Amino acid sequence: MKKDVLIIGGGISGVQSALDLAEKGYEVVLVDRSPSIGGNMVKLDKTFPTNDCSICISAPKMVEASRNDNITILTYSEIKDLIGSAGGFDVKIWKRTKYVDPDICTGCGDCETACPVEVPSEFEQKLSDRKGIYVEFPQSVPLTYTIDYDNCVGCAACERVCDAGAINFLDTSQVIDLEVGSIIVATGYQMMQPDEWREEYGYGKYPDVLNAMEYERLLSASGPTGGKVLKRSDGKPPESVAWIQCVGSRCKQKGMPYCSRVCCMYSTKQASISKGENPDLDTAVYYMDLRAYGKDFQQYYDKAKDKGVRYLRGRPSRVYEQSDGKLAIEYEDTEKGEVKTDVVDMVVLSSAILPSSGNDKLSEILDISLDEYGFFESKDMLTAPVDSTRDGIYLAGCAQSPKDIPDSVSQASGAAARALMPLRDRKRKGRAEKKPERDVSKEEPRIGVFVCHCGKNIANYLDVEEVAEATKNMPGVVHVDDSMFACSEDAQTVIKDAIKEHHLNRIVVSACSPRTHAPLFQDTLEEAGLNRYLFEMSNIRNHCSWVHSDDPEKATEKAKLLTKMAVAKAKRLSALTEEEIDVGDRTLVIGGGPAGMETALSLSRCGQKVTLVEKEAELGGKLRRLNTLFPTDIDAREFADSMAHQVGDEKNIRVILSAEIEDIEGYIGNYTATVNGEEIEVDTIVLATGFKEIEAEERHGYGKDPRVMTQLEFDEALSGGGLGKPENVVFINCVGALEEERPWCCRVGCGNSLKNAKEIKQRYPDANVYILYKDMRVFGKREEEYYMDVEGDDGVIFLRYSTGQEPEVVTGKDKLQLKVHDNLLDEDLEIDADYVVLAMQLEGDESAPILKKMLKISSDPAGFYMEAHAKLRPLELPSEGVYLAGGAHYPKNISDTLAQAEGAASKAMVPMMRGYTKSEGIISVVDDELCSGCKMCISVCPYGAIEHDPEEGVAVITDVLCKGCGSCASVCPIGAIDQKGYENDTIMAMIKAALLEDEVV
Amino acid sequence: MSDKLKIGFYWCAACGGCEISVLDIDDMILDVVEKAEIVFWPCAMDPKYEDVEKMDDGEMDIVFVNGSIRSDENHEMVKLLRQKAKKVVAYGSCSSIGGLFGLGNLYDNDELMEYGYNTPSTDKDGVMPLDDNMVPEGDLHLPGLTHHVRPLDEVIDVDVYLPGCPPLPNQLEEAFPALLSGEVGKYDLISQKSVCDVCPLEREEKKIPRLYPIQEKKLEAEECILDQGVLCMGPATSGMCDGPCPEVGHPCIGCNGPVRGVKDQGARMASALGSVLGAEGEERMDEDEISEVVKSVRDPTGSFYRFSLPTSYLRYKRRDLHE
Amino acid sequence: MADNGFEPKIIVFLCNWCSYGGGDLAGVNREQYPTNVLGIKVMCSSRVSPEHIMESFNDGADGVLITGCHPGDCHYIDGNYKTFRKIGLISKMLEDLGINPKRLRLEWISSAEGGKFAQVMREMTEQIRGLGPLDLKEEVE
Ligand code: SF4
Ligand code: SF4
Ligand code: SF4
Ligand code: FES
Repeated sequence: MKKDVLIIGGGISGVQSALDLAEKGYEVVLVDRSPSIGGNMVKLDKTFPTNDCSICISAPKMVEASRNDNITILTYSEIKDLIGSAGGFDVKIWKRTKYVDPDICTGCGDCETACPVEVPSEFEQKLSDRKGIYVEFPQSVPLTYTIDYDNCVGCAACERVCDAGAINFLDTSQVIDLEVGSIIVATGYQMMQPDEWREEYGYGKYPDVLNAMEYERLLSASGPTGGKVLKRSDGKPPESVAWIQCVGSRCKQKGMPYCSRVCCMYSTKQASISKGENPDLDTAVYYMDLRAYGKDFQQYYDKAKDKGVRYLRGRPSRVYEQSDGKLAIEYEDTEKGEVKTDVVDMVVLSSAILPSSGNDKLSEILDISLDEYGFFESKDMLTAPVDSTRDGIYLAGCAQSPKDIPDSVSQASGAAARALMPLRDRKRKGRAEKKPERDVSKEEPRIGVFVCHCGKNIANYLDVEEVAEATKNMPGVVHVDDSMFACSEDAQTVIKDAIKEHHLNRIVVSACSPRTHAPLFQDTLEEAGLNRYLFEMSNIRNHCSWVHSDDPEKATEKAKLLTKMAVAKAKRLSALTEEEIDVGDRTLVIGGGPAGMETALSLSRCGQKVTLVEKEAELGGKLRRLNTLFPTDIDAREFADSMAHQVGDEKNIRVILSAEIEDIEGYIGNYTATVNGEEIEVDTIVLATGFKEIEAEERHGYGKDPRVMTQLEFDEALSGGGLGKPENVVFINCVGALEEERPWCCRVGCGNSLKNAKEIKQRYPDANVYILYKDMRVFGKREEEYYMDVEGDDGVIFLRYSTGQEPEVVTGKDKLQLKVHDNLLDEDLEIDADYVVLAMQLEGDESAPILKKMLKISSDPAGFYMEAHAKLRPLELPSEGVYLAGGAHYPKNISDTLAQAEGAASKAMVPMMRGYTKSEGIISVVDDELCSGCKMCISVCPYGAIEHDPEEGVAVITDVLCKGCGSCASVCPIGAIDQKGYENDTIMAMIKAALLEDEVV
Repeated sequence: MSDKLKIGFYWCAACGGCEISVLDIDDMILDVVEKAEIVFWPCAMDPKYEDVEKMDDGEMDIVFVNGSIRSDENHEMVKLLRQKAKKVVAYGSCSSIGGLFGLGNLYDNDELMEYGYNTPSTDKDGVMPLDDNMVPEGDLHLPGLTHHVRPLDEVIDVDVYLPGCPPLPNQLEEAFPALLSGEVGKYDLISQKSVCDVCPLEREEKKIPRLYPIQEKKLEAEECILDQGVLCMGPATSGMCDGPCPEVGHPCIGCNGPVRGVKDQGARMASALGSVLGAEGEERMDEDEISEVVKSVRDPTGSFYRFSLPTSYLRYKRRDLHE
Repeated sequence: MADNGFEPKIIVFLCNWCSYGGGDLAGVNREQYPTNVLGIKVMCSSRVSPEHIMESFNDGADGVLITGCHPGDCHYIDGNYKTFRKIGLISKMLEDLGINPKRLRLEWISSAEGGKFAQVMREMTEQIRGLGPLDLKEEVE
């Protein structure tokens, strides 16, 4: 097999990288060692901070990957060998047999019922059993069964019941030879089993001590308890649950020194969901620092507290079972300085994120380095986070270090952009030829209906023949057939032949779910020369036979009605086209800071043309004001210079400095931006406008005394060198942050204070540094270690203060006099300071309100742009063609910024390299004869697809931007908008078909 | 006899405004009289029931009926007129779409009678009108109320609709010549565009955090009233009136009913307003907060259906909650 | 449990991305519920207009159930918020017109909530069965 890119690991990162590449026309092989792709994300119940249902948002991505012609998915497979170099790797992949032919298996599950073997389900964290022949979870991709060879007793019960004949015990595993140009490693993580390192918490010993993933499955509606949290000891719901943070993280002796980066938030999520479901439940989180650092995290944490989740600062020393079976937690409440014992029903351990178990072996095969913990090492942690130590191999997601989902998928897109480098000169797959289509617009509807038995899955519970018979008399129906498996290969031939023979122009299949099966039948229609939208399905399996299996008569009646409704709809279907519009290779990158420069570089290196506009007179953005870059000692300005230099070397990048954007009009493929009076035409736009410090006003004496500075001013002073000989320097973190008006966390302030503290200690070893903080939020790779290092320095004193007890600074004296209440020691302290440095709250750039209007996008109250989806589409805006990099999305450190910038470049290149973008087939249309220009619909469209045409006084929908939700069709007060495929008349006809007995559908 | 068209006017449950509106056309009345002879007009002449009965079927060319169907008499009379007329025009909103009286459908007749005759606001508590009254002249029978208020077409076939409360001169200037020359389709006199189309006020894309009662808001004269947070039915109302209300700063109250082709004005307005109201920042609101926003729409049923309840899907109050 | 022998007709609008998937999963898990519910798939709950609800009642539905993704989960970002507000208004309108607003229900069902899907279908059927028939077609003189 010869392909372009190999991706190892089919979790959300791997899937994202695969999609990014495949959509550009590169051929990708996605390998996963499990029977299904999906990784860890699909096991989660919900995701923070939006409480999105995890499987609901990841399953469509997986399905998208499986449908993409450019992606070959190899599950149950592992990498065995690799030779060659970037641009030409030869890989050997060991593909284990599942003993079930995936092309034949329909996923009906008959075999599973027959199988006598029960083993603990890995997917369910062994909280429940699965069979010897199984799918990991209902949304598995591929949705075909696997025989677990190790546990199979060879009884062949499954083979006997499989009507489709998919099971073959003689099948063997095989070695696949693969040639690729580059490789992305996305092996994810595993959760620590807290029994060895943290045995004092009683995991494995007491049944009601769980790890977080187990709790996640208990919460999941599709989990072993159907979403009910029940104690393992007695099957009863707990009255109190406690979460213990940092189990195995942030601790050299008993685990890993690093911060696992996600636990604070997932336990907040678990606690607040549990509390929300049962307000009487007592929930408490035992933590050291609550690291709610990301976009909307702090607000999520605040909400949890409001709901009544208790947060206790302290690291428990042990958990033991009392004689009454309850669990006692011993801990020191560091806020009160007391040693206490709390008693609860259930304990959840927020156990550490560990490197994936196969990393060792894989690093040897691929010949790339691991860090001391077992994560893959970046070529340069700060400046090349997605490059591995070997050319042509890149890193995505938690394979490199623990990350949350948006950071993982951003990095995955970044890795996809990097993986293009060795492939730049390869030919990509172009646009697929359109198949010729019969024009049916003038024909009367001639509907063909195919009713499926689905083996016994439908036929056992309702009378398929009767359904078929009843359908025959419906007006417009000219052909009815029933088949054993409507989705089988032979059945497709039957459908195609029937289309020809009976000159059918609409097809209805009464079978299973359109969500899984419609595309297959739609392909068949296309092959027979019919537009794929002349198709409708009625789900007489999932929504009928399976759920009414005890009442065949009524189920048959319902199946008839469902089919009648589908026929009513089919009659009204018309051919829809997915409009294509050309997208060229020109991008406008707004903002010349590190994010903008990196995006521009990445785009340019892949052959795209970039206009990079910067409002200042030189490139560099914040890098020009910072001294060094946390968590390294890299000189920020040198770094800026080197990046600017590289930008200057690129022929494809045009830089406009001191730029003012006067206007932007248009949409993807067709933007016109007016910059300094010049009109520039581009195809896509990347926003890299960064962030800014909020006004310090008169906080902590700012403005009254020059020795009170903001963090950025202090960085400037440090690089200027003129600090004199300070004896005491005080850093105040969270100034203007985590308070009611601006509740969010600035994400970078803590790290910045730490690195400046270290710098001062290096320059003035005798000076004392005080860091006044609320929670120490350092979470990235090597950040916790850096913190520990600074903390180990006796001259750096950490004081914890709370919101509402802001330190006071008296100015005008020889020294600044600072008063603070340390809530760990519970005492007031006074410090004579030479400098007081304010880590200011950060907010979106001042250009946001203007750009927002021009691009019809929105921002959050902090002024950061609202991405298309907080978890899975952090780099895109809802309107296609606009992308986000760096601080414009949310403040982040350099390493995250650069990874995200690469990712934004990758996203922008998707339509640009493909050369076009496609509209949905199902979109809405405005009848401009009717539209009265009331502007009701305009703000309703989540994608800014509707505009008011002032000349005609009507609303206009830009087809390519419309995603087809149909909101506008519902909003229009005079019915001037209709949604194709879901026209008002069609919906009404379905209602009538369902309810009116003799209604002629 | 001339070859003039014979036309008639009749009122059912009406306020009289429609009758007066006929005179609003000023000089044009002369054109009308030139082409047509008014043979039946209870408001201006004094014809008797028998006079109509005596007419041949189809004797009148056009009969304009205003007012809604509220009593047995209305019911009976329009059936007779239908028989005697070649063409029936539903004149005004009451006959076209039920009209203001249609709000009576929010109550059943007992409730209405109770309110009308037995609340502190009435003169003599508890004295109900009798169906039959013996008076010196003989036995007087009052027509009973119909079960609910109906538009004309629920009782007889209608050839042309001319909604408006009442139809305005500009509508009539278009309608009369067309009607008299016979070239007008059933719905031709209903605009398919809304009041917003003709409204001169400056409007924005709708970002309305909540609604306010009109008395609580000082309105800017040039700006869209709805944009300012005060309910205006303009978006869902047929605009053949040319928007005189918003033009002088008064919100459209929906008197023309829905645009051509739309059945249910109130449902459309609910859909539109429900979609846009309080949309900004919705992701940060909990369900209670959103419900508060919804509650800022005071009396949605009464406001959205002020003129069109009898032609809506639900038409009149049901007894589902009574059981 | 109301056992009055009345078999209500219930129209259920299902959003393509979440609730329809929840229905699929209910099937996979063989969760049982009564046959009284008939689903109509729309891309997003926000597509459902008040007219669709009222037409359903008019044509003989005894109950209408709208289902969509949980707040924040809508595939089209914020469609379900619109749905929520629309349903709020319509419920009030139904009540004013003497129709029990319990005949109209809005539920958030994700594609992972097969159990909840079946549960809601059972509850809705029971609830409407308890309310008895709603015959809007009744012709009055
Ligand atoms: S809501 Fe309808 S009438 Fe109003 S601007 Fe949009 S399409 Fe035109
Ligand atoms: S259907 Fe949805 S996406 Fe399309 S224009 Fe209407 S509101 Fe926008
Ligand atoms: S004031 Fe009323 S009629 Fe005028 S534009 Fe606004 S909503 Fe439409
Ligand atoms: S897509 Fe499910 S509610 Fe919008």
